[in-house]
Amino acid sequence: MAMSANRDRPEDSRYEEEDERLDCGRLLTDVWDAWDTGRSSDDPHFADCPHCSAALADLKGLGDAVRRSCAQEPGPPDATAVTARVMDLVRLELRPGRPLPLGEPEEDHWMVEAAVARMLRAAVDGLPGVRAGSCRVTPLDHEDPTGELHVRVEVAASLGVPMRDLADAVRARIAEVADRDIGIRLATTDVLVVDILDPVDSLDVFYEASGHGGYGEGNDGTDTATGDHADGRADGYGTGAAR
Amino acid sequence: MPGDGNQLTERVPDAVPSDEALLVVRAGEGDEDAFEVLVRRHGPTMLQLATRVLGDRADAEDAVQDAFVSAWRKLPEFRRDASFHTWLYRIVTNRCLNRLRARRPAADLDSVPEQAAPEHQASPARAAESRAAADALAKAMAALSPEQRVCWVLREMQGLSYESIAETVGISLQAVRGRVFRARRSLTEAMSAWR
Amino acid sequence: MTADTSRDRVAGAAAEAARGVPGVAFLRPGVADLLRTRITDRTQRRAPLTGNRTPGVRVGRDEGGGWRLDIRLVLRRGHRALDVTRAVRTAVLAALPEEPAVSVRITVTGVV
Repeated sequence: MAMSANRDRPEDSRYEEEDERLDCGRLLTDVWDAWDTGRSSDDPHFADCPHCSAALADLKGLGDAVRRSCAQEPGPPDATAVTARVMDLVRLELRPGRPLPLGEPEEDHWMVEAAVARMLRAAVDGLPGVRAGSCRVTPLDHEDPTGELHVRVEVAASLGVPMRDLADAVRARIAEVADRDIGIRLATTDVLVVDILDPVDSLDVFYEASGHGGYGEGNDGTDTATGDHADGRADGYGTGAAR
Repeated sequence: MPGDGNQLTERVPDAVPSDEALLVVRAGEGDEDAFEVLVRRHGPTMLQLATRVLGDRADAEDAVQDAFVSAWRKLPEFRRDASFHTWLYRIVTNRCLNRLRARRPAADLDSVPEQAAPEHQASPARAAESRAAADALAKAMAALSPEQRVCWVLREMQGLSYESIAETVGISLQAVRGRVFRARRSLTEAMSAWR
Repeated sequence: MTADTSRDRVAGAAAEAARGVPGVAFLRPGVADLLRTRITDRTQRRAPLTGNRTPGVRVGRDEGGGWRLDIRLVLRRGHRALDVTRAVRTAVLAALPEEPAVSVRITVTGVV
């Protein structure tokens, strides 16, 4: 083994320097390592040697105390209170994103990106076998913050739906909700399939069943004709070809 | 008003997708309801970790709270191919380490809490013995350095490999081995005195 | 009437008009009011009015001396955002009939 004691940080120095040589000649670290790796029964010395046996008994005794201590715990802790405290703090530092124009450019009506994205994701979640992940909504022309908008949405989808049909359905649903439930002007919608939905997950959990009722199956999609990226490989986050 | 915890959390739409990667991305883009689902999901595990490391439930709640708020702030930079659980685990561990370091050593020995007794113990004698063992262990753990304590708890109570501990705490494998060894020696000495 | 009280009166009237529009869950509160407003929203009670009496409404003067209002609100789910902001604008202007030039900016900051 290399000898490289770090004198600046005693805590990280080679612990063998503090190791203990038992009266039988074995190092305590070796005895305990053998126990850790399940090798202690392979070497008859451990059972025969009183020093090694005592060292192992100490470690077993400690392990027993750990088990008893953990068994004293009343089960997984209830995190309800800490969750509430965390969320109270989080809601004091929300990340709303930029304001996006509602209605006509001269109206001076706006909706923040996080709120728009949440409604669009909920709409996508309402489609069977699809879940929305990232959803970014930005002005198509960054020089014109009151102009038409561009949506880029990533989805996870169940196997079995043809990618192009899926993208069309997502695009149509987004166009429908953008117009009917929000009032933003969309120019383009890019749909990227980035993950395969676990069949268990795809059992249509709706974001909010009430209050959003009445979505028809979007079927025209004519106003969102561009940006078909739905052929991105669906092989997981961070690795899809469309990324 | 702030104690109205149950009411506040009932508001979470439990209809946010169950898939973790989607939730993490949504939370990173500012969807606090998605984040709330993550906090509820990982809260118990993180609280258990922090309680074991710190030996004190109230302290553990503070550490976990700090860790989650910090996670909310850092989420926009979170790399999505990383594991959210591992990332969170690391944040909680480091919050706990900082808290242990900030404790005054003298106060530490006095503040070891008595273990709460579960009410469903079969044998009173055995229960008392277990409780005594747990108390003795808690007192022995209070004598460890913060670094030893964290590494030892991750190893012996949380069941992490030396490699995982090195990654979680951000130190070398060799340093982890050294800390766990020193913790074991200190604890076995203390516990053999108790037995 | 001083500038401050007239500003307060405009802000108060605008806030009240906006809050009365269906689809407005609440006006976006300042940070200090946030927790209280969330709880108020849940329990269907009015938040006690302390400090800033018109959270979610900012009032300024534009170059021509007219009022410039900036209103932030949280939308109630099931209402079309643009319809609500337009109704808020109409209601606010109607609540300030004697004020000559009023421009109104409305921002939806959330959905509940």
